[in-house]
Amino acid sequence: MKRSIIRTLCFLSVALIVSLPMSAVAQDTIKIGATEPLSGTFKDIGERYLDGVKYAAKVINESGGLLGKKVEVVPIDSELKPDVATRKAQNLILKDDVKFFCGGTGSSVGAAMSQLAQRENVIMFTYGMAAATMTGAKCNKNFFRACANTDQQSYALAELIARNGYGKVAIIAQDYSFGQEALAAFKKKLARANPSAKIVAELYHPAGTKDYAPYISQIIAAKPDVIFTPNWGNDLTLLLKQGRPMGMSQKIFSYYINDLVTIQALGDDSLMIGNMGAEVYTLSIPTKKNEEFVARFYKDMGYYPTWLRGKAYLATMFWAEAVKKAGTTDVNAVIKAWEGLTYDGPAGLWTMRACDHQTQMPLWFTEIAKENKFFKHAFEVSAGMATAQSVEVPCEETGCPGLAK
Amino acid sequence: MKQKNNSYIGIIVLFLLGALMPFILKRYHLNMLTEIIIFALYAVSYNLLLGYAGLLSFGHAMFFGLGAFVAAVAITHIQGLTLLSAVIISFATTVIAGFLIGSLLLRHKGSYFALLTLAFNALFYAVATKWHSVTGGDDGLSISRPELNLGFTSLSVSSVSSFYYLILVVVGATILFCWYFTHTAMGKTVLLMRENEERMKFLGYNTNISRLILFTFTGALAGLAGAFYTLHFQFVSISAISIDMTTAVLLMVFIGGTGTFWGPILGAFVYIVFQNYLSNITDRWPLFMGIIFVFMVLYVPGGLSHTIMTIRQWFSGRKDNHGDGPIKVEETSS
Amino acid sequence: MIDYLHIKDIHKDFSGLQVLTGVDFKVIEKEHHAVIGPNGAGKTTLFNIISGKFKASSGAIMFKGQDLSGKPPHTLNRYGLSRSFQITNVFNELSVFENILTGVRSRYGLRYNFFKRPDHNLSIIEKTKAIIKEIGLEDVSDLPASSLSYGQQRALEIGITLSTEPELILLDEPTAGMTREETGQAINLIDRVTANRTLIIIEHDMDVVFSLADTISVLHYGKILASGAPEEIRNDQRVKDAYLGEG
Repeated sequence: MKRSIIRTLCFLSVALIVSLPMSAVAQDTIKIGATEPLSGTFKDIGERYLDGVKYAAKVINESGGLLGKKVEVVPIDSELKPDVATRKAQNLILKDDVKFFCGGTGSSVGAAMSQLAQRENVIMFTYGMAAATMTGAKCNKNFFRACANTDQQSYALAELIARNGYGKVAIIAQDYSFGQEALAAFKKKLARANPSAKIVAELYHPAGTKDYAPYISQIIAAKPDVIFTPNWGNDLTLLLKQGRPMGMSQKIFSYYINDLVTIQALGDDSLMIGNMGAEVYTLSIPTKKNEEFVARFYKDMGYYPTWLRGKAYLATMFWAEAVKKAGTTDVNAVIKAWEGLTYDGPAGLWTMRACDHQTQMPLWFTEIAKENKFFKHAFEVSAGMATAQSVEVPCEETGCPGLAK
Repeated sequence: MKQKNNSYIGIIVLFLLGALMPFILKRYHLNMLTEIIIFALYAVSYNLLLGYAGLLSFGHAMFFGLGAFVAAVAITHIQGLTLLSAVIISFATTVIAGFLIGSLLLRHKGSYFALLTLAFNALFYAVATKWHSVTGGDDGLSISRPELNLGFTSLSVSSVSSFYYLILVVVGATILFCWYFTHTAMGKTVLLMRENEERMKFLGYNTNISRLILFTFTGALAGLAGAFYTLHFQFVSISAISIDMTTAVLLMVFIGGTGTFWGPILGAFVYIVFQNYLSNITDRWPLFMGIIFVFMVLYVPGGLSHTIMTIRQWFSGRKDNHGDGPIKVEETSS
Repeated sequence: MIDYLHIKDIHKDFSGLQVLTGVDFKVIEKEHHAVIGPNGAGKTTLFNIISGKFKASSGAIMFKGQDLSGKPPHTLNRYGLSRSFQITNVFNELSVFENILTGVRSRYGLRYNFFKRPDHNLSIIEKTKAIIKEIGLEDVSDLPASSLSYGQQRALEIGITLSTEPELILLDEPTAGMTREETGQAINLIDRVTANRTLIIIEHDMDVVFSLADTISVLHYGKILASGAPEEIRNDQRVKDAYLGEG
């Protein structure tokens, strides 16, 4: 048996060398690894983000590529697990020397990818992970965020509520870090924007709650003018489905109100009409550049670049601008080029702030209305915007020790 | 004695071959080989429990995960902790945990034992998920690999090849010790207990203590594999302590076969290579792994090692069965 | 003076069924003591209690002044007790050598060592070989136990019992199922290997009993009916009535 151990292991080693295909691909492409959940419960979210990244690559490649090279998107199924995402990303770095990664789903994946990026000196950027700490206390020079964080989105909605003169607000959120951070930021901004406004109810429920009746009764009893919630997915649809029949008729201000999938899943326009949201990208942004982008996308793909697709597209285009400015794919050069870079795209003027790598951008308000340009059912219409300055969190307040040299 | 010399030569050849790998393999494959060696230790530790002692546990991941988390937490919280100290802390913790859990669970036999290990694994998993402040919960823990302090000098093991050498030497030697262990008094005692526990008792062996010692030992080996897993990925999350990790080791051991010492090493190789390639091709790779598992259990119950042995016996037909003496038991176990 | 071995008023009931109801007898050092009795008299139960497999419901087993009742088998083994089994109970997949080695290394304290290989210890190997020679299995030393003839397996059974060098040997029907010829050989073997040791033997075969035993105890319905030298037992009227006469 002893000899057989040795023989087998010799055999194994030889097999390892021989069996593995040689990846002798020349460096004529710029690879970008997109870590998204491409299987499991959140598959749908991941695929929409990936769609946006791929479309951006297509647009770049059709206009001559990036630095004369083609951009190739490598999908990485993160399974929404940080260990899976980092393991696959690590393999891509070792195998193909991939230097750029992006992703939109799962702050846990993002945090782990951010650490990996720093360790391996590659770049990771996100177009969807909203936890403020990622560009706050946990910031690092290899991680960029090209979407709004919880602070900015809460600020924008607080601004909107204050602007419209609503004085009594009920707030409700999922009882975990995301929900808590979102409400904290909202309260902070509302107190500044309209000192006379009052929070009449502040409620937390476990994520994935099925019965909202106790929370809804408390909201109704508090008689608010409007309701703010960062809830998403089932926690948003159930709140609406159970709340409206019980008499919770107030406008709801929510982060992700313009999600087509949520609206279609609800299947009842009356539940949604009048609700408002704020996002970095919405279909209804009233700029010329956006109209062109939506038209082109629709022509190419046969459907609209709603929400996640648009966000992923914009962020990827922003990254491409940084690479273009650097004139090389050298990671340090791209980091340097991206810091302070501005991008004037379909969603207004974006600036990558050097101190924490958090993009400063306007947020676009939407209101759900029956009559809209895109669908027969209720969907978003434009409702103005919050300027980048109005939702800005000063560098000193982010908790990031400061990245610029 | 001839056989003895042969095996020593073989071991030296194996390590030399291993030492050459960084010059032959690309970084990506070297990284994969590192992972294979780490998982080989995990699989070997499980086989000592299942194949040698006949204890079916569905909770081996609790030790693997514990080792992995303790290493990560130690490195995060203790400034300037050296690599080997982190590994030793991790090892010591799993020894204690293995001893305590073993004392509780080993009173039960067979399927009760198996179900209790499953329950304990679930408990560990729940603790890891909820104890956010220590384990990072869903977010996991990222670490930077500490330097290797050899007393007179510090070596950086941050590159793929230097870490590979570390794993080759340390984990390779541990696996080698496991192989030696199967020939020692304790190794034989464990094996014979599975053969005929009653007789062992009447020959003066305390079989309960023996089982506890073995359970603790294999748990600590799994913990060691876990600690190196953390050091390898520089990241640990609840996946390391989940039932999936137990399933993974079951797969490796069944693919390779429980009947031989080296079967699970082969199993770890096949598993990791398959996982890497399949997960790139399809997001349903666990399904394919599951199909392979069912196929192996139904049609190749002895695993790949059994198949290889059979083929070898075909080719050297005259080889008598009894020449291997003590090994016979290992080959016939399943 | 302290008795060498005193089986003291042993009772055993299995959930209400009285199997032993006050077994009491003494064994002198170096004596060869046979326990006989009809089927169902409780011989094997008694054996299991003495060797630690079962616990007695009441009573004591005084061995050189110490009460051993209730101690587990592995502890008893270290006191110098060793038993054989009526149904061959060896390590089937192992060679004869390994079978014997397992007991020998236990005697040498090499039970749980993580570093030492028993097959590298010269004195253990010597001792093992000596025992194999004693039981006459040198020729088949490397064969697995399962490939031996029945007679050889019984010899191995005795060899394993001897391998921990006990001072008190308990043999449970060592010649059960043997042919006349094999029985003769077994008697010789047992006589040889138990010289200078204390032996308690359960046996059905009266030839075996009368050729091996110095003292015989007759177990009848859970009690000792009579105890004495073979001649006394042969002539005891109660024993004749209860047992010998019938069979």
